[in-house]
Amino acid sequence: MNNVLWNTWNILMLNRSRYFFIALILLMYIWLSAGRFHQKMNKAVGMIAMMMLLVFCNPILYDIAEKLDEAYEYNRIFWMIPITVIFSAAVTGILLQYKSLLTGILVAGYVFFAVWHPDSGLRMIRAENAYKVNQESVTIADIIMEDDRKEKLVVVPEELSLDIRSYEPAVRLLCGTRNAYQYYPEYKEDIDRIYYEMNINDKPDIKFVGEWVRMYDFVYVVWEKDKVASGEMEKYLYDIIGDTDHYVVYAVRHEELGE
Amino acid sequence: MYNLYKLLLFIVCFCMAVIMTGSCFYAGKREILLSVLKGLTVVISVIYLTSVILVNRNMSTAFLGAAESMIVLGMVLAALIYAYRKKSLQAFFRACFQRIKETRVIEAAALAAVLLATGYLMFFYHQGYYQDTYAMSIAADAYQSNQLYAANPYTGAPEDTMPWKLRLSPYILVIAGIARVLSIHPLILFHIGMVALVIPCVYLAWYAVASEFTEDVKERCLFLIILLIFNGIFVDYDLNANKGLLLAAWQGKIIVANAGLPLILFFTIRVYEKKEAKYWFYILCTIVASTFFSVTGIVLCPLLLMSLMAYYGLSCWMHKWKRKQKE
Repeated sequence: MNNVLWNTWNILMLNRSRYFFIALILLMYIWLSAGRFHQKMNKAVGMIAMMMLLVFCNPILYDIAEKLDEAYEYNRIFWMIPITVIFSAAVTGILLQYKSLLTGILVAGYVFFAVWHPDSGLRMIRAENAYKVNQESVTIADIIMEDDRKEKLVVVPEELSLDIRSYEPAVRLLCGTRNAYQYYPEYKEDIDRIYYEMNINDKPDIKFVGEWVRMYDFVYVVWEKDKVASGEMEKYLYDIIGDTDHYVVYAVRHEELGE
Repeated sequence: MYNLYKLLLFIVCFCMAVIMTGSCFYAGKREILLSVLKGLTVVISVIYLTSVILVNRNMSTAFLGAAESMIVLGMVLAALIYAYRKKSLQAFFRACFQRIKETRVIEAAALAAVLLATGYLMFFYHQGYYQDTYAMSIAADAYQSNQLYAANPYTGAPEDTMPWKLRLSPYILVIAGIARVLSIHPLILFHIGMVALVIPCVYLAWYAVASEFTEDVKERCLFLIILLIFNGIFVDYDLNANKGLLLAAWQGKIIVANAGLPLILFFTIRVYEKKEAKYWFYILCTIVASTFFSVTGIVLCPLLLMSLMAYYGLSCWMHKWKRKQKE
């Protein structure tokens, strides 16, 4: 019981929960309002409130999920709360009850202020291609696929790993999203180090990355342009096979691969 | 341009299947939308039941795609013949044309707003949400290797055990199969094709729910337009799937939260308010259809149903209690 309360509190308080609380206030408002539309919607609101009570804040469910090691999955069901529907029902009722332009402006202004978040809009990105993935990932995948080396084993910075396999699954990566998934889990320490050098370290240890990549049969390394000085990777037997606006694609020399 | 024709083919075939199947359930002039929603749940349920069998028998991606395409086309044909013989097809389309003639300005505005939002998201914008990688890589792998699951989606390292969630909710694999049949990249099918189908379906479902509460078309349409605006403002994903609708409409969880929930709400209202027991069948179909998209559907939809039943049970008990008090 304590667990679920603590968990719910965490979810609601720490994860931008103000939407949830605003929704609760609006639910109460719809419940108590004398507006015609709100009175009609009362039933739907009652159903949603019951759903919240029985599904979203249910200690028994949380206990079951915890026993199945799926407590994280339980948190995900908070996504199902139809917050925008509650907001819309409330605003529609208000607009229908107080039919004036001023009400409309006030309501719209309040709601926009209430739901606006500094991150809003950031994740909405103009599509650069029909696949709707980062164009640089597409270009880099194309460069690698057009190259004549057989194995397409690649080390890339984190931001590219998100899109590159979705576009070209023949490309295989040393580590996936947030380094949580690794191609060789048995070399975890070394892969963590490479992840650090590629993504976090401003002055990466090029020698370590270059030698490790060759030693474990990976063939391609994609570096951010400003992280590697010209000619530096070439010292460790790599060739440049292409570049984009922000990245350079290196490949182990043919002689080293024995091809 | 060639891809666009294939996309159109995918969208038109699915819509045809839904409309034709829906026309079999047509029961009167005021039930056009209801028929379409019934058709939608039945079509997806059939796709789910057949695809689960095929996926668990480890068929190839191309076979899965071809089988599902044939099933959908078969359903169109069967529904066409059945509805034509029952004369419901003619009545359905006559009612549709009549309804289009009677369309009011606000209805046209709401429809235009939904279609504009859909078109805008289909062709101009995408979202940068990292969890997309998992589903998209599985689909791309299945599409390219012709094996349903052969590699870890994040790294590409060989793997032969398909996750149980994928076996239970094969939506990603079915789309990959259809992509293989159409020979179009699955990313295009997800990011454009599914957006074109999901967003109108969601608003159709909420419109149906609103129509259960208010007879006034103006009120329903206003509610729909405001809902569209709110979904547009909430462009953040965390905590609430409603917010992700306009950003990641192709994701299974989003589809369950945005389309499964209103459909269950709608059919439950029908069961309890209109005392029509046959809607239990469509509730079951909605649960099955939700499970197709995301494994959470198999748990959440029955839970939602139970809570709605509890609500009705409670209100019935309170009604009786009040009557007793009066006596």
